[in-house]
Amino acid sequence: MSIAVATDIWLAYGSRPILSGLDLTIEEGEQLAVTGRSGSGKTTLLLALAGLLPVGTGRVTLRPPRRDVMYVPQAPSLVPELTALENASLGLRIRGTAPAEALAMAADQLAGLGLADAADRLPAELSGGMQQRTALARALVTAPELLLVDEPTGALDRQTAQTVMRVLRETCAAESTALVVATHDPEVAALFERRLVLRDGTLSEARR
Amino acid sequence: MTALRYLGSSLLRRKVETVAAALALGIAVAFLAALGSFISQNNAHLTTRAAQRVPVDWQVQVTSGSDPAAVEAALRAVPDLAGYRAVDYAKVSGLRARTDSGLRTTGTAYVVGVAADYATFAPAEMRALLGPMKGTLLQQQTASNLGAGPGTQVDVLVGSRSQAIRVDGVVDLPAADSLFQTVGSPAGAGAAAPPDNVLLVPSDQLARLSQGAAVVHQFHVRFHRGSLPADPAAAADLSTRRANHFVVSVAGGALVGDNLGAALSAAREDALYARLLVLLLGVPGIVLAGVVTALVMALRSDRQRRDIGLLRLRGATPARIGGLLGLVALADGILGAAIGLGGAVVAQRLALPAGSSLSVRWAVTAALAGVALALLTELAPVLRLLRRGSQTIAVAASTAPARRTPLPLRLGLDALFLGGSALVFWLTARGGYQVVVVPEGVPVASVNYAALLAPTLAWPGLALLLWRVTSAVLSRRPPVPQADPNGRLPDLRRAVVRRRRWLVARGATGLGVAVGVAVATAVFTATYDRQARIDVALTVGSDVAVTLPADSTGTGLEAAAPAAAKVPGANHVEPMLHRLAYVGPDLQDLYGVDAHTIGRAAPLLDAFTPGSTIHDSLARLSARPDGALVSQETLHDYQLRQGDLLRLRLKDATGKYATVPFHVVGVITEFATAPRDSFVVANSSYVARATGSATVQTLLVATSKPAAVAAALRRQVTPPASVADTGSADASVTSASGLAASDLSGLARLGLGFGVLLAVASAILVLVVGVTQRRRSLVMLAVLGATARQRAGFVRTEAAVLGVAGVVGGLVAGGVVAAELVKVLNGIFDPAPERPVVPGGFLTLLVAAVLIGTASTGVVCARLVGRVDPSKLRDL
Repeated sequence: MSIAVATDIWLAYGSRPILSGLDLTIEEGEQLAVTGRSGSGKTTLLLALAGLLPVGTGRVTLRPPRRDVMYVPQAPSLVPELTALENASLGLRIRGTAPAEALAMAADQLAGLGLADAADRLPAELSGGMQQRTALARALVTAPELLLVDEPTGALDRQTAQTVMRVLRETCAAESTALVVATHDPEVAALFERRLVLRDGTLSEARR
Repeated sequence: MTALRYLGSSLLRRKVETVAAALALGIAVAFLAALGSFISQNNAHLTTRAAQRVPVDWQVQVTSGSDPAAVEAALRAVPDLAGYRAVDYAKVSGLRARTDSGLRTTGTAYVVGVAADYATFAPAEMRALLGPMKGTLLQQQTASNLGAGPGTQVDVLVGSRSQAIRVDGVVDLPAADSLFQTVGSPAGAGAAAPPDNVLLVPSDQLARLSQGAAVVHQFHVRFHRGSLPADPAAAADLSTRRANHFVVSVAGGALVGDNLGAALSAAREDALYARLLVLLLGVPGIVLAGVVTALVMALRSDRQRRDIGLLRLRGATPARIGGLLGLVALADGILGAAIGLGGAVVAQRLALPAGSSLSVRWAVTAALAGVALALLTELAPVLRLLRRGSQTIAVAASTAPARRTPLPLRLGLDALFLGGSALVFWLTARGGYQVVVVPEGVPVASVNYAALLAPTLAWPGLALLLWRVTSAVLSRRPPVPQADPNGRLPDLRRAVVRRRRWLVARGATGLGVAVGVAVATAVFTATYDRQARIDVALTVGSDVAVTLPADSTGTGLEAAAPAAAKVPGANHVEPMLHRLAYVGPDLQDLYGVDAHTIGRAAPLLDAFTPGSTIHDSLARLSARPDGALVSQETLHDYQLRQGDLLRLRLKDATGKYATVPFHVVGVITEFATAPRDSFVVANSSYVARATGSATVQTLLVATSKPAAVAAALRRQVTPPASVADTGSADASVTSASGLAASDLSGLARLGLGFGVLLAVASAILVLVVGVTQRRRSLVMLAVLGATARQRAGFVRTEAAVLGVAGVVGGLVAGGVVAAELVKVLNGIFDPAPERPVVPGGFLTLLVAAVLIGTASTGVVCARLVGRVDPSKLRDL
């Protein structure tokens, strides 16, 4: 069953076209990677799929409500005044989960991503990679129906990247969460069955 | 051309930022221009008013044996001379008149020869009571002594000879003190009683009437007032130097009684106090306006960072970038200055007295200062960015909130400032709060600027303390709720504020200072206003007062008292004796009162009787028939103590001075109608018995309708009795306090108006800065699915903390500084206040305005945050 369908979407920044008649269907629990050169429009595509960026023409149809779609940006996105644990619990708290339960779930998720010892630290006390993992934990713990992740391993060393991608894929698989990862890292893209290449504003299946 | 294109596009792209910066700058420029104009006009007003009170500018007295013609010739060469008249007088044995009541003869009298147009030349010297004001005129006291009036023939006695002259009219000589002053007497010499008997005659009659008695030649001189400098000190200095030069030019052939210089010299103190008030009430507002403007300008650092990045990409050199951004800053400055000057005109019309105008000098100064402020605040961050490279917002957003106590607080500067303030305050208190010292006769007034350190140090001390206390309160860990089904996130909102506490507390401190400035101005001016009203009531004597000259004999106002009591609206009529008494060589006013009833009509405060209450002091007076309350000066100068015998010389019913024993029962510093600081209050029954005269010279009337009662009384009484009331006294009565309420009201209106404006602007600004700093976090909350209400909750929490801490802190800080100001500037009050006055109405309005401003900004910010387009995330 399709969880998100993008039909003939066109989007431009000023006079520069980014997405040009792009079509994409994402199935429930599906995991796929979107690759492309820097500036090819990967982030724009994820934002459009998340319903965060209005498209010029065309249509993006999401089956789940907006709250069950999570987007994890590439840049640091934590609230600087909250600890890693509080940040990780934020998504749950926004959805009304009891504070104690939200903190416990967030702590488990952080531990799964190797951040058990960093739970009480503020974002400024974390490395870029740790911040990125905390943001992933914050998204994963809410068990969304669709998770859109922008360059999740950009700031990680190879070993940590592998761990993160494993946890990410396993957690999504366990929760039947559809996962879309935008990356320029061929090793990360190679982890996915379905890989799409964004070029000239349109998507094409990558050749194996 | 490229620069102009960049300027145009830059201004158009950032309309809101440009308008906000121009408005903030406009407030600062308007405040500075209006305040400066107030200073200029107040000085000019004090000079004009002091000069207006002088009936004759100089009394040039020809020294014995010198040639009046030579003095007159030298006088013509004095610059800015408006005119002069010869006034000669001779002291004669007495005057005599035969009337229906028989032959009456006075004691020593003065026969004064004046020009026919003297009354026009010096209108303040004479007031017509009966008949025309030309020809031969009798002073009213003399007319009363002789029982004479227009048409009466008076004999001028010199030894055994006499010369007759017919009286044309009776006049009052309101400025007799200065008219008959001893020209050339040392400064600070005690007042001498003006002569009781004066006959004014045409100049050509004096030689015949004086019959060989020694004639004193004087020239009464007036100058063009327009040539006086606006500053009273400079004007006094000019008059004194001009007088000295004249004396030298006639080689000692004349002495100058410099009435103008003396009056202007007295106004120096008022001018200095006005300057101090501007320093203490206006300057903090100016500094605050500058800080608010700088903060608004700083809101644009984000845009500047991007512009620098783009310009660098296009190959612009740092100098070129600086030039282009400098051009924008200059345009902002010019726009702000233009708005500010417009605002200054409006502020000046609303706040300053009618007829005042914006000072061109101050308008230009304020405009230039505004442009400089714009250049400084906009270009300083640009230079920093060009030198160090720009930090991206993404990096800034993940920067840890400051955890360490800010350096000023680590150094304990708050305690140091407040300790210093307390120490200076104590030292000032020990010195009797003498901030301005104006020794009589000394041309230079001195200001004890060190005393001003108390409020000056209190401001930063209290601000830092507010920063510390607010941070301490916010540092408490919030409790975690058991459940939060609606996702209100109270604990997380408070956790954010807790970790941002130094920043939030700093914002609350800024707001607190803004509120404090308005509170301090309001409390001080309310206190001043009340004291000014008391001052007017003291000067008048009561709500309404009917007065005869001191020592008037014959039928006094006792006969008018019953009729006065029947005037509709008159609540109480209190008769009072007003005599002149010699205390040693000093002539002082003596008031005979009924200690039981005087309080029903006279304004009496505990502050008037140091070390006691007014009730106890009057009780002691009534308990001892020969008791006397004397001034502190008298007590000190004559080494008197309570219970000491005090012998005074008073006139008896026959007009001769007799010694009357009194006993000191206490000290009193102010009393109804007392024009000077030295006076005596005694029991009227004892004074009447000791002098054989119960003539009442004053009726004090308590009423809630002073104007109507005064009008009715004016119809009942006849000259020389005069009626004054508090309703019209503001304008017509020369207040005992030099700096009248009307002088301060302009400053007060400016301070209060801009205070409220700055307080509200600070509240808005602090909140907007906070929201701007956390824009990325708030956008991320939206990405995580937070509703607009949930996101707004973070803004609301911060707004509440800011509002409450800023307002409470501001009220406390403003109150403390106001209390210090009232004490330190004690000398400006006449009489000194018992305690500061809290203007409840204004403070309620101020707090409401700030809270409404904060709440509305919170709502607007929350709405804007709710509308944040998450797509902006990719731009951050």
